[in-house]
Amino acid sequence: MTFQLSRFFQLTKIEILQNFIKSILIISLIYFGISLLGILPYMFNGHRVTADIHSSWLTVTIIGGIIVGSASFGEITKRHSRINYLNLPASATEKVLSKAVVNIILFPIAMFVLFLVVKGLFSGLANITAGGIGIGDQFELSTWNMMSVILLVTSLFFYGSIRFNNYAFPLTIAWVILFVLAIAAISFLVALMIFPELREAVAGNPQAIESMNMPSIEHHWVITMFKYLFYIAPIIFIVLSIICLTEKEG
Amino acid sequence: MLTINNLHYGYKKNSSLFEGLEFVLDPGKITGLLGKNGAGKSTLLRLLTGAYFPKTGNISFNDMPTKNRDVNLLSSIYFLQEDDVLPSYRISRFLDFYAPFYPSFSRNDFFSMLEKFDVDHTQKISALSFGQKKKLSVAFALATGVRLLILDEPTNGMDIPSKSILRTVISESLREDQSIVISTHQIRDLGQLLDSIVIIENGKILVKNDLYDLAQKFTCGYIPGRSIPQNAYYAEPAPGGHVVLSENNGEPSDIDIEVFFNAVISNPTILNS
Repeated sequence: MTFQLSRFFQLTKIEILQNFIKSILIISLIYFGISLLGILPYMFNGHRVTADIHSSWLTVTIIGGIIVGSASFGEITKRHSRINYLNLPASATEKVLSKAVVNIILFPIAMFVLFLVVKGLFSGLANITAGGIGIGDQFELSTWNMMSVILLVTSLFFYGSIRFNNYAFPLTIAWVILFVLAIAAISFLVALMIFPELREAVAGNPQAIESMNMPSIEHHWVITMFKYLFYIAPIIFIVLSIICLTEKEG
Repeated sequence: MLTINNLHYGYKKNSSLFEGLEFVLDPGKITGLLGKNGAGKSTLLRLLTGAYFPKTGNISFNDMPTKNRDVNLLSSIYFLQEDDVLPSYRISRFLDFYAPFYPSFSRNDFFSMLEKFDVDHTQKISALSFGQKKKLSVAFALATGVRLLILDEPTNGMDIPSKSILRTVISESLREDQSIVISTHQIRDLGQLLDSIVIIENGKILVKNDLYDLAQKFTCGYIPGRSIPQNAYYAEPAPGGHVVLSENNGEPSDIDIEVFFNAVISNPTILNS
């Protein structure tokens, strides 16, 4: 594995200036527009209400993550640019990590900064509007928990964009459906193995499932392992992307 | 030194474009890669750079297998594709982005070549014409200072004065440790530059020779009138006569690569004569 910081920074610089800024500006405009539309009706009605710019942030961030992730390896969609990219003197690790840092890690950070900017802007607006609006401070623990979902979704589509030369987005969706079905099937089989109540229920005694102790299930080592897998998955997708780029032909 | 050893390649599992291709390119030479449409010239160039992987066999440059795409290898090879894709931003930004990947890149050479090609380096790339973009790509490729430079149809889209400038800048920039491979159908544009030629036909190397050696063996000339000399290996009609490829009787001569190409493609047995 070859890795040189100067090349990594050069690739990161190119990724930010060539692709990322454009994407983040478009996503920012969309989020700003949605937030404004959500707040406008309350601005001049004389009542003070608390506007929610948080749920739209989550939606925009997840959808934005899918778009940014899918567009990560735009160079490989056409043969000429694919060959140029493969022949660019940098290792597959440097190429993938530079894009991963920008599109998987920098993206949610930029979105968080955007949330703070929009919140600050509309809070300021609320103070000068008659009746006014309050901007709920909804960035809670649940939001931080959602970060793992954002990272997972973005990294999954990031992998899809290097895995498939063309039609990366629909092919990744199809791949995700298969992946989720496989995970569901595996989870079900694992659950059958470790929970006798579930085996009993499947055998024809649905009442057995009611006797299951739900809090203890949550702390079962298998469930804990799946939670950790959620956090590890982005790293797995990045490693898979490096392997995929190493083996990719023009 | 570029070495191709027993190369087999095909786009599909059971099809074969190249069967057991073998040749070595020595440094300090400019080699012309010639072949009919569909002979696999561009595919071979992509194999040389490591963008495609051989089915079997090896391609290596200075003992580094190209299919590994090692960074040291990639920084010593530059492949200018026929229809190079350039971004739309300013030339200065393009330079700022991509020149640092090539340790021997010379900014002075780059700007000097752009000046010779009459391309304004302050412009946005999107504002350049097709021919100007081609000149920009060629200037960048030559300025990289890599040890193996591969040019696919570099004169496409260039005007007549630019082709002449291109010949000058290529011959001026060639170093002793550098190899240049040029694939072209416009052989009259670049023929004067070449030291050797490789002709591919039906998945095999038909000719791999220095032009000097070929000129010792063959000669080309114009014969007025309708009759073709009996000792001619090949003749093609020209206004008022024929251009003929025949045996060289020891006189110094230049070989017309286009005539020679047509001759060996139509009758490969002349190579054994």
